[in-house]
Amino acid sequence: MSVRRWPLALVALPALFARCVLVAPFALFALIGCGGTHTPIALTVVAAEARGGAILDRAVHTPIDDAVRLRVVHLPESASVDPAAERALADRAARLALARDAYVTHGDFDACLAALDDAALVPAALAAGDRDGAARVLTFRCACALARGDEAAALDVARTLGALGLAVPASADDISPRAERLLADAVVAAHAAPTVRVEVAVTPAGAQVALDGRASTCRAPCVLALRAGAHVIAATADGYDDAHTRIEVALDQPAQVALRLPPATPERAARQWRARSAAESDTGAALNLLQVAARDRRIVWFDAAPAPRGQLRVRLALAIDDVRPRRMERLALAADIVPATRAALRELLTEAGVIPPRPLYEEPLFWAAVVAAGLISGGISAALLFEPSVRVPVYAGGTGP
Amino acid sequence: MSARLVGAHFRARLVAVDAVGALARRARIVAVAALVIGASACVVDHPVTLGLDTRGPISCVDSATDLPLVARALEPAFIDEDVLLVFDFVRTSTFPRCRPTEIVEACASGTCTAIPSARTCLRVPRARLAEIDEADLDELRVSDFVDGQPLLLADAPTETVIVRLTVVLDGGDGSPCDATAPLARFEPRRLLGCGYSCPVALGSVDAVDIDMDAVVGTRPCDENVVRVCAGLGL
Repeated sequence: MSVRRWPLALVALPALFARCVLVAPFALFALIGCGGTHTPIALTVVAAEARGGAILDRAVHTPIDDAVRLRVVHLPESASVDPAAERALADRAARLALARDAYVTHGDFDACLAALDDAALVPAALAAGDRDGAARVLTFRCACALARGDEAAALDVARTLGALGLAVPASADDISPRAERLLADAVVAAHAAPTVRVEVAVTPAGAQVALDGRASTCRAPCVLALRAGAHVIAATADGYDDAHTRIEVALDQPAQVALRLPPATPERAARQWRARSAAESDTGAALNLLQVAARDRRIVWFDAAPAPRGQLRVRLALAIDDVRPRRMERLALAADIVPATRAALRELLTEAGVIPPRPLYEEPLFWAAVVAAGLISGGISAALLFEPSVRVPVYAGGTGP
Repeated sequence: MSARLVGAHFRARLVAVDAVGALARRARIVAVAALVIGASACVVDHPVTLGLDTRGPISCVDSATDLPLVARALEPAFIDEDVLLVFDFVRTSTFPRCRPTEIVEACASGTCTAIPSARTCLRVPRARLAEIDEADLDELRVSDFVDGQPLLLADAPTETVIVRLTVVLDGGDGSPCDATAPLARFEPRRLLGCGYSCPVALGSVDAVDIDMDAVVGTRPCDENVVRVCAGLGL
């Protein structure tokens, strides 16, 4: 019995054709990696120094990938110095010079006191860590008040110096022996005075707390033992501006101090980042500072430092929001620094998933594998299918039964 | 990773890349050499020996004189003509069995073609015929004309062929062994005998037997049988 098979073929062939037509593009897209479009991610690339900036400018001159848009930012070289602090220091030095001149040269004690008549002068000096400057201000205040005949005011100033734990400065030679004695007695008396418990809390927690201009005293929150009198408590933290407060501690009256640090300005963050050593310039905290300094939460830090044998060590670190940063390090000859930087940058961004992996067909190894596979399969096919050509020489036998 | 380690790593990579490159170059040279050697060595010889006279002597007779056809060589009209052993390779597009009738029928339908470039001849000089005693004519074999195992054809076709041997006098209009002339039917009066092999692919056998004067099997063999045999594929 014969069976008519053409209806089956009529269904199967179009189905097969449709499958090929539908599947082939996806397979092709999977191969060449063009299965979708990407919204470009904006990244800020920060160079550690001017030379790195020049390299970066050339490395990202042409886009690395359609999926990322890079913007190079150069941090100013002078960002390590705080101009406001410099101005305050200069102002303090000028006032002290004026007061000394009035006291020593002219004997004009009112002018001396007027030159130092700023309640914020001592707290500002202590907040900036200038204990010597604060001591000199208090010394001249005491000497001028005593010379003017205001002994009570001079004694009050001397007690303040003692409570702050300041030493009588070397320049005390300029003041009268009586004033010097008053100050020395106040320092000695302060050492013998009892202390009062003061709790210090700072936002953010973990900020470094400095008491009366000393180097870091404790890490907030902490408890301090202070003598009665005026004190200055300052706090610093990466990513925040500094803050300080003046407190008046009374005997037998424990106190609490709370400080809230304002977020750092980009300039301040850049200064904090530059204050770090080179080895710490790409830590997580350092990259957070750079994020603030660059005014972008998505940054790539770049550095090209000299390495032995005329090479450069390319270091890259990627920080996106609060995700743990990724780092990469490469050695490259100085002549190849631009393409090496570009390749390292691409690799870093690919590893972090910022840009898609390079399509398979762009990898040289892919084509090497294809050629190798072709050669191997061709060789196997040839070995299996090869039939040597046969030459058939024919000879007459010439013999019979 | 320290700078020294990184440097060593890169140097190692460079050395490795160089080594890989050298290896690839060497592999290419070896591959090309192997191809050349392989291409030159991929021709193999497959010698084939034609077995002559396996069924008996040249036995067909002239029905008019009742003498063996080979006696024609001694007739005064042909006394100066050499004898030729003409070997033809007759291509068969079908693959007939070896029965004489089937081969004749297959060739009658036009599917047999003697390959012109494959025709080869052995010339038997007249002097060699002078040694033959007339009384022995009915016992004459093709092998009597062939010394040793001469090479007939350096490279025979490997397709399915029938190998035919026609014994014929070299005279008349044009020699059958003239390589420049197209193949033509042998002159009937000069035919002395004819034999053929079974259809065979020469590339797959070592020896082929040629049966003389056996086209019609058991019937008496006369000049018509020889003419049919000599006309196969022509």
